[in-house]
Amino acid sequence: MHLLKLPQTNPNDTEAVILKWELPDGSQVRQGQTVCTVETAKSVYEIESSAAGFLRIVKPEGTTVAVGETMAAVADRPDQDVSDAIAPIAAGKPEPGVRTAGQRQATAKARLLAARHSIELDSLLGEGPVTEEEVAKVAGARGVTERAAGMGAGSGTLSEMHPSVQANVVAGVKRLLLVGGGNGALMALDIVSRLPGFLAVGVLDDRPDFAGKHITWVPALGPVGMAKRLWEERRFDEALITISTSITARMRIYDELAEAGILFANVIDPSNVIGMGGSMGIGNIIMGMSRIGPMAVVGNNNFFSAMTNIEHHCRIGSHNSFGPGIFLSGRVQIGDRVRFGAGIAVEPGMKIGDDAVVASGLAVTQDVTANHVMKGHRGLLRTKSTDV
Amino acid sequence: MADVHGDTYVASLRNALGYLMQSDPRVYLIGEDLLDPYGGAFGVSRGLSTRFPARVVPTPISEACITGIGVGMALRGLRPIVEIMFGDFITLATDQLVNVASKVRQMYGEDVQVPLVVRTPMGGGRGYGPTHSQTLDRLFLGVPNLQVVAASHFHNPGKLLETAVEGDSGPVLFSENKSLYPRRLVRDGDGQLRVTALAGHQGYPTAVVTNFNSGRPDVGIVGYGGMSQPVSEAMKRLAGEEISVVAVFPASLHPLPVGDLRSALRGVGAVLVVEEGVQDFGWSAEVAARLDEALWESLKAPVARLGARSCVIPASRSLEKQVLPGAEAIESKLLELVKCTF
Repeated sequence: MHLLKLPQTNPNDTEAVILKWELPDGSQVRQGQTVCTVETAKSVYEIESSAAGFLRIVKPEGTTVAVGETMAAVADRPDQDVSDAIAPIAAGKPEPGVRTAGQRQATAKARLLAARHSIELDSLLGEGPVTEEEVAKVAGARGVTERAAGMGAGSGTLSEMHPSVQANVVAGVKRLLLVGGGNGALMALDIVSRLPGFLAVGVLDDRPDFAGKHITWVPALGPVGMAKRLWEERRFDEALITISTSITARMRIYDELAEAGILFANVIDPSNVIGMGGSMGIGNIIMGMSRIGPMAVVGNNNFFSAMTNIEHHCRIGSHNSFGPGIFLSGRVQIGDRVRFGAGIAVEPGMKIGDDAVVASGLAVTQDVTANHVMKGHRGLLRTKSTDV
Repeated sequence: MADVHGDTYVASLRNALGYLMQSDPRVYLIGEDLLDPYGGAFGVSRGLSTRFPARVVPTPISEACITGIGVGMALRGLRPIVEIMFGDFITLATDQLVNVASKVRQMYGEDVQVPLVVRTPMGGGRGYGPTHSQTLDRLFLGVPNLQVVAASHFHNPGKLLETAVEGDSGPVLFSENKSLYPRRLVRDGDGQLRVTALAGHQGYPTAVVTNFNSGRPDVGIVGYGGMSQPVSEAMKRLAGEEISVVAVFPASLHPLPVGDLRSALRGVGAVLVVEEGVQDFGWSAEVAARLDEALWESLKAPVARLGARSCVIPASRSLEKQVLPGAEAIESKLLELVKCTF
């Protein structure tokens, strides 16, 4: 026995009205014979029987049926009992694989994006048709949540990675793309040369004559704008921003690349000691002879030079840049986009707000207000007059 | 040159013809059934024989003869515009175009020019049958020195015609489309679509049409002439599905402004080339080959083509729909291509 379901007559209509059954119930039909006409918003279509046999009408004329829904059965024999198969359909029970009126519509783009990220459309709550934006939010949120958890690895769950990336991660080698071709890249490559788990595959920089050269053994590939394309082509597994001078540029590029779904690495010199119980985000570079004490929390995209001591229970945000020799005592709190010179000591429990600047050689014995500069041999606080 | 404005495709052409004849006494209009009150089979020349009785010349039914007269007039310093009533009949003028008009200058050297414009409506969709519905520009593509120009409703057809008549590019086959005649021109856009113009080739601008405001297009489509109508329908529907499409419609079919195609389609992962003519060995094949060369690095799928099926165009409207490429087929094909890029 065959079930005759409403086919997709055109790309736009998800349902049709049964206009007329051309043959009475029980008629003998040939395969390919027109059995009924249906009407969509666009046009009237003839529906052919998919099999030879005897027509048993399930849905009467005037019924609206969805694409994939059963309209009739074609029995093999005139006296065949099809009531078991037909009854639940005639009673209106939802058929598997048929979109019922209650389910949300989705744009074609939303469907493609959901399929790529293995997101079930049914799992999305909300009103109206599912849009690309909604799916992208879910996809992005998933990636970020899983990246931020855990220490050091900076990657999402293995199962969500592209197979080529999975293979590299499982084999223990991640292809690293550096963004920013100055001294920061040189220092990063110095660390990477001692880290067997990374393979540096390229450097990006916006300088006009950059492409085609090499930084140590690593090719300069072109401008920063290339990163998204390289990511789409799976040419690297993780990125690291190696700009050490402009904090604004660090953050801007980080946000752009993160929005494109690019994963970031933490590149940590093997001489460093990372204490227990804390956490670290992604995209951080920490030069040699540094230490992170127990229960310390570090955010994303920070550039820490050599001999950075982050004592127990410190909380440090993102996009910060430290010169060498920074000594944070316990429970120091540092916000985002803070710049430290070289050789700075910070007493326990100090709070240093977003966008602050502390000049080299100072002892921080009071809080540094956000957006302020601490400078001069007595460590006076001044408001910032220019961008740093 | 004046910017000729007419709301519809046919009005734009009619106004341009009026302007040309008014401002240049060398301009003649020659063809079948042009006289008022009929004013031509599609009404393009309506009113002109009344205003310019000496320069609108009705002829007997011989396309070879009409075109030959046009060549002679052009050689003698006039600016004749020959109207071939249906594009299907252009075959009868083939020898005059291929072996005379386009070759005279180089064969006989000297200072001769052939500023002849042959205008004709191509296209089907009206149930006019096999010999009144074809799109035969393809037969004349690649003839050296014969420029082929096609006006879509994204362009300003009157302005294109002015360029053809007053320019110095030698004989021009100016292809119009029957179904576009009554349509309102899209020009800068119509709320859902945005139209901009690229330089094109020798004064024949390329129209670039988008159905989105920002971001990169998901897919590109290249077409010409009468395909502007089904393409704009498909683009509007796809906007509702959040599929962003960039359409590139050159006015100059040959020579092809590859630079415009390359810059408008930079970075696009997949492209469909459409034409109303038969797909096999058509304009779309040449364009696809050139796009492969120009876009190789960014393409994620081979350049796709969609044209008419290779069969005689049926007279029955419903059967005709199955042969000629329409908005639905274009939409399906574009969606398929977008899937490839995902």
